[in-house]
Amino acid sequence: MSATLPPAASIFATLPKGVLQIVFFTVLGGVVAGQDHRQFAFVGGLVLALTTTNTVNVINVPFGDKYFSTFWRIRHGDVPVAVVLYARAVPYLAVGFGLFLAEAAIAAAVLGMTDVALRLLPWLPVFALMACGYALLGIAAATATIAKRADVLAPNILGYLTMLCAGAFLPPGRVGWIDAIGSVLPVRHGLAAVRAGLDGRPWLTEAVLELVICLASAALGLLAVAVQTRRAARHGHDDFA
Amino acid sequence: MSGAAIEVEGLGRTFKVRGGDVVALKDVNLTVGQGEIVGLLGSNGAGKTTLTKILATLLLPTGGTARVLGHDVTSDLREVRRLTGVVLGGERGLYAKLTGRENLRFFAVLAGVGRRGLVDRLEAALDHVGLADVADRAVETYSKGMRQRLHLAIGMINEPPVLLLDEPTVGLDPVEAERLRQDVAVLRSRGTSVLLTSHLLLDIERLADRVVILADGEVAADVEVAEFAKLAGYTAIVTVRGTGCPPVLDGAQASRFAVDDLTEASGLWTLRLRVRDWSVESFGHLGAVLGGATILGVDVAPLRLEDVYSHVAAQLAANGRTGVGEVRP
Amino acid sequence: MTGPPLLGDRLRGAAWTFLTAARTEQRSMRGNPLLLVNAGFLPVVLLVIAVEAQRPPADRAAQIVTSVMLTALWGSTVWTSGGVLRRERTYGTLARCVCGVESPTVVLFGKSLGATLYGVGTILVATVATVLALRLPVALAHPFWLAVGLLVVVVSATTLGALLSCLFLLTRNGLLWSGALMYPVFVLGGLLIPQDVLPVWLRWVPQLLSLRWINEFLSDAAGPGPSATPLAVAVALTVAYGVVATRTYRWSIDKARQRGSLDHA
Ligand SMILES: Nc1ncnc2c1ncn2[C@@H]1O[C@H](COP(=O)(O)OP(=O)(O)O)[C@@H](O)[C@H]1O
Ligand SMILES: [Mg+2]
Repeated sequence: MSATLPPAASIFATLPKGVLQIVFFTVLGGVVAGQDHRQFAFVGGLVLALTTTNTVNVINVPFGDKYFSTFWRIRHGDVPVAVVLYARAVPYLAVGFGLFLAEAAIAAAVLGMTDVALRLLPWLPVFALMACGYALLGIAAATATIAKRADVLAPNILGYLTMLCAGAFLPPGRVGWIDAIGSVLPVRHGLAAVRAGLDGRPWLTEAVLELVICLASAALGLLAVAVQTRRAARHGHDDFA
Repeated sequence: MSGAAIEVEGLGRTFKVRGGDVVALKDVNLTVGQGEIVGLLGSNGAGKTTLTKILATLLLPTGGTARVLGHDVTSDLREVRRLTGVVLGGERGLYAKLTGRENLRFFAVLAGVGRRGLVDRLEAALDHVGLADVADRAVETYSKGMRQRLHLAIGMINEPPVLLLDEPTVGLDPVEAERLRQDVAVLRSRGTSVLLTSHLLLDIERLADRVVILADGEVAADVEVAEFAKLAGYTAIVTVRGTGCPPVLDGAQASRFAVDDLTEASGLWTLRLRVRDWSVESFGHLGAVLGGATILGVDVAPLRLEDVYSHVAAQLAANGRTGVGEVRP
Repeated sequence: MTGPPLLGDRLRGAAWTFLTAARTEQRSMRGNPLLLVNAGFLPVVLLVIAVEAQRPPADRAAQIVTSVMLTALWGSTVWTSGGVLRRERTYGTLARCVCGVESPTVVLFGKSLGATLYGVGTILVATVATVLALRLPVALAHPFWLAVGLLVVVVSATTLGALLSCLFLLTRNGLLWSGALMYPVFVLGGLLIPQDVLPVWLRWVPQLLSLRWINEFLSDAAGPGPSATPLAVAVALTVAYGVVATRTYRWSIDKARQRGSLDHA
């Protein structure tokens, strides 16, 4: 898996993917819903690239332990399992965010959207918050399902749900069930805050909601870690096989 | 068409690696007659697997020729592949998510087994290797031995006239290994020619007609199994324990027995004698040797092929032939 | 001894191997829920966001549905049929697959077909369900030509998948390339994003993708009526993919037999 790939190779693959993802959603916005939708889709495309392409790599942390059968060592160690897990996720988050900035700059230049991109700069903290929420929920989902063969599904399904429900491409208020799912997942509220801020509308409530979901995801992750650690201790299958 | 099942002439194989070339096979010459079972021995890295792979068309030689039932392994691929079955040891080489039966079915078709009678043949093969009960389980749930047995079933499914077995008993428990030996013995009665690589000399002893030792990329010995046993120069080891003065061998006795080892500690001695040729008279000769000594116990162990192999390997090493592919800059 | 096999027997043997390979690959797809998720979710997500962002008129709806399906097909091809040889390598089964009695190409194309049918089936089911759920007005004006188009889609995607498989075999980072190749074709494939939106100097790119011509054919068949040219171009491109795939595969195998890397992971 990509955890074992040399970083150069994964940067080489991730960077163009992120750029093209932003370009794809932006141009598609213009094609299916007219020129006005382009800017909407551009901002959404940025968030999708940030989360589903760059941040998603954090799940290499729990997966790595599964593939290399190293979880028992972590469980056996002195430091709490969750601390080890989250501490190791930080580099992935940081590298992901750095790559995202580069992708956004390139995509904005390609699309002629540099002005929009510059206006987004003050909102980077909210982008970072969305990335954290996504990462925390991703780790929680991957940890909760790690003993199953379905483990790789969790982050993929989260990615598709985010594309569909985060309001990145499809404006909120179109389809009821999509809005409902989106409102309990990370990204959607943060994105709404950014859009509101860009338009000069009040944005604080949405930003706080994003923070709440981020914290809830962290709690879910801790719960998943606790459950898995106990399961491993009780059934003795650290390798999750 | 020639009569030999496998004919190898001047076969060479050099691998290019960073830092130079590895010569796995330098100049190998050997034949396996039809219906013959030949055991291939050699230390780790002697090139046994390389030779097997070349014969199985998985690897191209860098020199020389090899033919299977008269078909060249580099130019007559289709025929060679139709006529040979191959089993390379190891746990890979199977579709983990598919069941044992599905794996066997697919590889049987690849090996040229037609539609007619396929189902029966699969059933029989699975039964034969003792996997019938687990045939519908995914291979990822199989143990090492079960995988190895599935490999065997795959290698033999098209009933090939020539079978290449590379360490087929690796990973099998003693009971399973014995069953495999029985399988190969059955093949002998069918007239199948087998090239068998194994670290278990028991396999060779029980199955092979002839032994070929690879060392230094060449055939270092190629003898009948009975002859092979004589390479060690003795047929049994006698261990004697006693007190007092240990016996000393005179000239005539030394021609029959060789002192392998003599240890003395706190009045007790242990003497190991190699018996050059075991026969009824040996008892008398042994009595003469031990005549004057106080004996506490005697133990006789027949020669094992392991001992022969260690002996031959030690000799090869003494001659500067390690048997391992050397690196040339 | 037996003489050289008769042509009829040879063909029958090849067909039997081909079908067995297809069936085997389809079975092993079952054990891989990730492929199902990727093939199933992508068309749903793309269709919903494309259609609900602005409801299209009836004639445009059919076009969007076709483009979404073909885009999703590309997305799944890079993983399913495009991953056949990569998976072979991980399992260590490549050696046996290329050393069967029949030509390795027969096995590869059989496996690619099995994987493609699985992907196409999943995409069709997911798309039809979404179209019904969204109550999209999609008319099937020329069902016969749609069926012809679908057949060409399967053949073309099978060949394309085999080609990708062979190209991924040339690198150790096949998994990485699978991920990296998705979006370039989403953008430049001339499917959801029409060719004329691209800058002039890039408009030749979609022309090389058979799926783009099939898209044109299917859109025409759903609306004004089928035309032969796009279909012919799609078939010609498919043949070209097949030739390149076969050559590359032979070359890779020979190379691997020379180097002794056939059973490397
Ligand atoms: N693909 C390869 N590339 C480089 N060297 C190889 C390769 N395969 C085998 N060798 C080398 O060739 C020699 C013989 O290997 P092998 O035939 O596997 O020995 P054996 O089976 O007798 O233990 C070893 O030194 C090994 O390292
Ligand atoms: Mg070996």
